[in-house]
Amino acid sequence: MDDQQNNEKKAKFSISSLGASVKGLGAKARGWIEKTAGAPMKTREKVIGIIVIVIFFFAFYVTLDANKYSSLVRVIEGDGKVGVNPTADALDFGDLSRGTSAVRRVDIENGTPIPMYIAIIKTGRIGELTKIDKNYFTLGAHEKTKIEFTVYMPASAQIEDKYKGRVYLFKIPTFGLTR
Amino acid sequence: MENNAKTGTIKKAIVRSTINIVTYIVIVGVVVVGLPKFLSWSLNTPYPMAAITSGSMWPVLKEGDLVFIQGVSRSELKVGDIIVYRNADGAGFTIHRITKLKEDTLITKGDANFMDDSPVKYENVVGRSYQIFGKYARLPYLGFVTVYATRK
Repeated sequence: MDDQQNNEKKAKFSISSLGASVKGLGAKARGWIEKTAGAPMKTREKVIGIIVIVIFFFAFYVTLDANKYSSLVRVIEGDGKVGVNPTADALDFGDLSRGTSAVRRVDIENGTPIPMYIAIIKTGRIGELTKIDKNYFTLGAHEKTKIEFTVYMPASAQIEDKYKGRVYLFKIPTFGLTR
Repeated sequence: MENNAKTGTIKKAIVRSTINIVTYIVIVGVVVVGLPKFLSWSLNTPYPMAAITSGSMWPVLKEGDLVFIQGVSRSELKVGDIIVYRNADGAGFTIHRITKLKEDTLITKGDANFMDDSPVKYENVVGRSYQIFGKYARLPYLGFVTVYATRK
C-alpha cells in the first residue's frame, strides 16, 4: 500500500518537473518564487516588483554614467600667491595662499535628445571650501553649459595642508518632466 | 452571538488605534515644544540653539551645523570663547570668537576671516557656544533648514 502511494507521488513529481522544463525559464523562476515565498505572486506584487527593478536599474545607470572628478588644493604661505596646475583630468586648484581663490570651469554638453537634470555633489574636506555657481539645473537636449567651481582659502586654513575631495556630476534623464 | 463578537473586536481595534495616535501626538508634542523649553531652562538662555549660516568659523563650526548656546554672565566671558551676539542693526545674530575684552565692549572675529568685527556691547551677547569634553557641541547638517530659509 505504501509502495503504491510512493509510486503515485513519484509519478506526480516527474510530471510536474517535465511541465516545468517544457514551460522554460519563466516557469522555473515562478517555481522558485513560489517555493521561497510559499505562495504564487499576486498581480499587485508583480507590478510592484517590476517597478522596483526598473527604479534599481535606473539608479544604477545614473550612478554609473556620473562624471567623477577628484579635486584638490594645497595651502601655501604668503600673501596673494596662486599656483595653478594645468591638468584637465582633475579639478586641481593648485597652490593657494590664505585669502586667495581659484576658479575652474567645466564644460558639459548634453548630446542626447532627452533633457537631463544635472545634480552636482561635492564631498571631502575641499568640498567645504568649494562654491559651485549652479548645483542643480536642467540641461535641454543638445545644450551646452559651463559650471564654475571656486575655491577660497580662508584665514583658518593650515599652511602646507592638502584639501582633497571628489565632485560627482549626475545626469538624470527627465523625459521632459521638468524644465 | 457571532455579530456581537465581531463588533467587540472592531471596537477594541478602534480603541487601540486611538490610544496609539494620541500617544504619538503626545510624544511629538513633548519633543517639539518640550525639548526647546528644556534646553532653554538647562542652558540658561532664551536661544538655546543656533544654525551656522556661513563658513566664517570654519573649520571649528561648519555651514549647516546646529550648535547649542549656553547663557553666561559678563564675568564668565574670556578671550577664545565662541559667542553668539545680536547684530547692532538688530538683523539676526553672529557667532564668532572673542579676540579682545574691553571695558564696555568686546571684539570678535570669525576664525576664517582676516578682519576683526565691529565692537560688540556686552548686553548684546546672547551666550557662549556649549562645549562637551572640551569640544564644541554641534549637530552637522541639522541647521541647513535655517540656512535655506535665510537664503530664500
